Amino acid sequence: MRKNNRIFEILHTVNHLYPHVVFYQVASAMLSVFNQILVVSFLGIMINLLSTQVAKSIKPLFLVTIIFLLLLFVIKLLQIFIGEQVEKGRQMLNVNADADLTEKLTQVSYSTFISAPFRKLYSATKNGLDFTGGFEIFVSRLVNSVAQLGLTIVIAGGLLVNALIIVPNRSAYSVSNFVLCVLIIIPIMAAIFCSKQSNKVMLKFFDFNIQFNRALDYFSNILFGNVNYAKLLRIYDPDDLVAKQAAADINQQVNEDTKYQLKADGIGNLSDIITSIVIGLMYCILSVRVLRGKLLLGTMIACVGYLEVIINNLSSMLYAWNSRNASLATVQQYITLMQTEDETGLNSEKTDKIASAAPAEKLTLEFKHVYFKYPEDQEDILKDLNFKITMGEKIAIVGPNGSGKTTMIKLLLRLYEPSKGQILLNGQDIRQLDLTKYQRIFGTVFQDFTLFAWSIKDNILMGAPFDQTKMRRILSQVELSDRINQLPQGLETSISQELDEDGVELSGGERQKIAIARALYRDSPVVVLDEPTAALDPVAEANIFSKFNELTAGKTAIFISHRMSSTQFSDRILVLNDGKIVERGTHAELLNQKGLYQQLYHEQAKYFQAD
Amino acid sequence: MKLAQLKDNYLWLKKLTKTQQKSMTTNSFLTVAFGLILQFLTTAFPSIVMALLLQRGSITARLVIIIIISVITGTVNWAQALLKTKNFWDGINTRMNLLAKEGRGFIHLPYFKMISAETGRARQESAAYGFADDDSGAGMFTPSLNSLLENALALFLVCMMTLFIAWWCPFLVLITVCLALKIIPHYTEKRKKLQDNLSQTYLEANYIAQKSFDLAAGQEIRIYQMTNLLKQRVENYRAKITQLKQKIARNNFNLKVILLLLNFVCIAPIYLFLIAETRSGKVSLVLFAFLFSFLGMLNDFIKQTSDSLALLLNADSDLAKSRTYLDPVFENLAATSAKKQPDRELSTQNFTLELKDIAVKYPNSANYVLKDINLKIKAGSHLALVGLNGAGKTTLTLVILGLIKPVKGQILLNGHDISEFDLTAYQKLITPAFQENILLADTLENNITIKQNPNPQLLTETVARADLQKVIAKFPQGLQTELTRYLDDEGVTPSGGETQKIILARALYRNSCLTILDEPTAAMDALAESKLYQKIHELFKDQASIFVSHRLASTKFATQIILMDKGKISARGTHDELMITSPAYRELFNIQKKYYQKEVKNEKE
Repeated sequence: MRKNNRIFEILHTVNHLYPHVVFYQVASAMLSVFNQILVVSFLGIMINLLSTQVAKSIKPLFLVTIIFLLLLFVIKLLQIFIGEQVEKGRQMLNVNADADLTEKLTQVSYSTFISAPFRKLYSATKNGLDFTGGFEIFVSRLVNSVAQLGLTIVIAGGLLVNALIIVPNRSAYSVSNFVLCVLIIIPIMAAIFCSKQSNKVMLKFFDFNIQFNRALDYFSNILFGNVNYAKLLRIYDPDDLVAKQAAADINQQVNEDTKYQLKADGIGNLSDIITSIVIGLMYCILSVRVLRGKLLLGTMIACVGYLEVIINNLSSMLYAWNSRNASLATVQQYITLMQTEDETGLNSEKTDKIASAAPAEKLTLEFKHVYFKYPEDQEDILKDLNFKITMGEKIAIVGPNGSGKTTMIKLLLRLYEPSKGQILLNGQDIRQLDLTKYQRIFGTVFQDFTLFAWSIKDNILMGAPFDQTKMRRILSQVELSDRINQLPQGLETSISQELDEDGVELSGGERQKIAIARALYRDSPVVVLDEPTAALDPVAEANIFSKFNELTAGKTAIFISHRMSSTQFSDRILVLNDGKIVERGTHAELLNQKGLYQQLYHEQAKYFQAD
Repeated sequence: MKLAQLKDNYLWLKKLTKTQQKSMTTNSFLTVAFGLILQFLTTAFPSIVMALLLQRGSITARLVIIIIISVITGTVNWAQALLKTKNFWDGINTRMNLLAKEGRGFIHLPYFKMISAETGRARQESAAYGFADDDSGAGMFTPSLNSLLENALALFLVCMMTLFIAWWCPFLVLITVCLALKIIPHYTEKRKKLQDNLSQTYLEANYIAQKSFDLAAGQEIRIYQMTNLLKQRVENYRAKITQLKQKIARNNFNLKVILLLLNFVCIAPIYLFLIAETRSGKVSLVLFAFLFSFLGMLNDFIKQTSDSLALLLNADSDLAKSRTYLDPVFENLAATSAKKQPDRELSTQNFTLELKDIAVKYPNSANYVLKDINLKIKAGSHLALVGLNGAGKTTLTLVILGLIKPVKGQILLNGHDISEFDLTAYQKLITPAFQENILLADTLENNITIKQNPNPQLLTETVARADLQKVIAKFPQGLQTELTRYLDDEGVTPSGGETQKIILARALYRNSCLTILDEPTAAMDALAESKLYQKIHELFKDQASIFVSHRLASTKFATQIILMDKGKISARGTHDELMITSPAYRELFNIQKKYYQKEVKNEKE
């Protein structure tokens, strides 16, 4: 019962991904069976006609032949047409599944997105779609072979029964007919046994293979692919010991893989020998009848032909059934993934309490006894955070590496939810607000920001409407105007050459400026900057900072840094250490407290205070 | 011509595969032979049975013969399947060898070539065409060659066999074959163009899929509400792919229908004639059965011959394209691996390195990246290289490392021009610690030693000096712990601070005379940065060292500060000297000092 439901669910999903593909595949299977049976039958009929010398004229022979050729032509023509539709449909199944998965990735909540089980599931499904065939194999093997087998048994079986039982109309050969039936089963049993043994070997191979592919990925994309690795190895390993070891490892892995495959195939294909012998035996049994004149020669050829078709299709069915796990697994994983919750945009029941063009003065953010730990961790990363940010304030968050600054920002941006406590916007828990509208009030530059391989313009706009004046203003604020004017395609230049041969590689500083421009273009009331100038040299950094007041005029700004340079512009500073706010106040107040802030400050300032 | 290139590629591949398995030629021969024999046996089996039945003789003997032939057929089938598998994996082996060799070749490229984006692209292209997957040149060449031979021979046999029917049959078959071989490439080319279009679209599709999964990009996508944007792009490429696949399907359909018609026009008269000849007794029943079955495969043989020919030509040109990058790289690799005798022995005593009037230009550029560089370094020298981004600091370190050859000037080691020394021996004296903290997917020990110079005592000392003992105690398998999760899910990803120490240990292990550190503290907080500089100062006290940084905190322990500007050394001296003599240095200092004024001026008013 449960299995049936699953099959229906899968078929339903397949049809949803590409309508009618199952129908086309079944039709294709039918035509294939017709083809096989037609050819075998014709040969048998012809041999009978030619050997019994019944016809006085050649006309009946020609007639049969022409009918055969016409039928064959029509079947083949239909096969070509439906074949192409099926082929296209099957490929589109995987393409559509892939596209659906990609869309899904951007729709799930952030905490789901980063969770290990979700990511593992996605990787497995994508691997399945890309390497083991996924939906395509499901349709081309399982659906196809089931349909083919069904029809074969009906037609070929019917013809056999007719030729061997009904027409002769005697029970003299019932024993040998029974033996024939048994003979059909033998290759199948042999195939089942051999493939079971072969599967045992293949299982080891799969695990091995996953590891091999992983190693290959590492070698080609990282060890041999990354310029920085090459720089390192060139100096530190002049005799290529590392590289040669890698090559030897790859070699060894391939050889092991080969061994497994050969072993698996050797065992698995043994049933082919058995099948061949069985066919021979069938010929023998029926030959005896022919020699005794109880069976026509052509009929024998046709019957063995039908038996062969039955055996072949049974074997295909068996093979498809045996290898169903890989493709069924992928299909099942896909269905599970697509059922994961979608967090963006669909929870329209959540009321929107934020005015769409929120005036900056109206927004207050507050952390109330906020604790946070990652689901798989025991310890809290953030402990009892309490603070308030009023509109227009410039807040600096400083602290040593690992103190939790970036995590706190991610909570503020609602990428995560606190394990305890609340984050409030104008007194309301942000979890009750519409996610998209909430996140819109922030313009952020992460420390590990990402620029996409599209045009500079698209990277700054992020889907917002293009305003020429605004863009010019922002580009001059971040001092990118000159550089962009230098580029042959200006703003339309693609970043990196991943997707566009005419794209440009930009320096770290230029990329950082684009990220800042992106945050500013949004015109959001709150600007969040996480180490915004790490890649800039002191002069460029100074230039940006001198414009900061201009850049963030009228907005709330939150800086994160472990360098004190940014605290100069802040109204207030929060000092984080080990997940807690240990100090807070203005720059002067904190220096007086002679705590962590003063220590950090002094460490950097001492180089400049000799005079 | 085409044939010459084919032969050249064939021999190239043959040499490549010689190292691990039996000759490529023998393999090909066996594959083709097995294929043909199997084809013959399976097609002829019914005819053989018929022949036996129509003879006289002992029934048992004839039945036994049938069984024997079926055993042989089965065995050949089994053996051929195994041979196919072996061939497939041999192909993978060849490709993997190419991959590894190309990787090594890359490592030894001249420096400017190695870092250029153009080389990166050429590599990708070369890999895609040459050996990246089963469809690549190296992957497809031998299989398509074997398939071509097998099918062409089968075609020839069919053609010859129709002589038994009538004298004109082979001609009819030949004409059909020629027509088909002319028509097919036309459609194949069309399809290729469509496939290329498709590949381009897949490129973007894969990029979007990759970015959507990427952890860092995932943050960006959410807080910038890119979901709809991405969805649009996905729908775009989905529509494009659908359209292209429809065109490809139509192209294939047209081709197949034409071939079908051609085939029927050819075999219909042959069949009818065959039947007439059999009825009149000129052709035996057995031969009829055989010819009928074999003729039925004609269309398949034609299609397969044409396909294999196309694949072979494709693989051939792909391989040639790939080799335009690979051949010079392999030559270079062979040249650099060849050990040459050093003209002069290197001694590490009294290490002195002097740069005299060094100038450096990028290849194909008129501008100097470095000019008039004069520098002297000896044991106990600790230089701080400071200056803005693009001033030439990193380039200078690369010259010292021997990675970039200056177009003018000399580098003298202990008074002798370094061209008199073996480059590798020279490079062993200098250790770089690059900006990017690279960890290999290997044990902690190998990450420190990079598999060089096994010396347990040195290792223990290095571990102590780099302050790694606590870290090693923390790691589950100590020094043998696997680092990074590239290859091992249980691998350890060290924290930023731990990685720093490992990189330091790596530099220490080399025990060299001069250590160059490039921006080692870019991502560190003030306390950690201070600690690191203190530590480095202690560790390299007796050697020579060069720091590159644009943060002035690095200059505290320097014996001399070198200020670089636009490729030249604009000032040198101690901090106090420079504050007096160099306005540029003063300005650099003051810009950063501003943040640390005793009273913070509130600039908001």
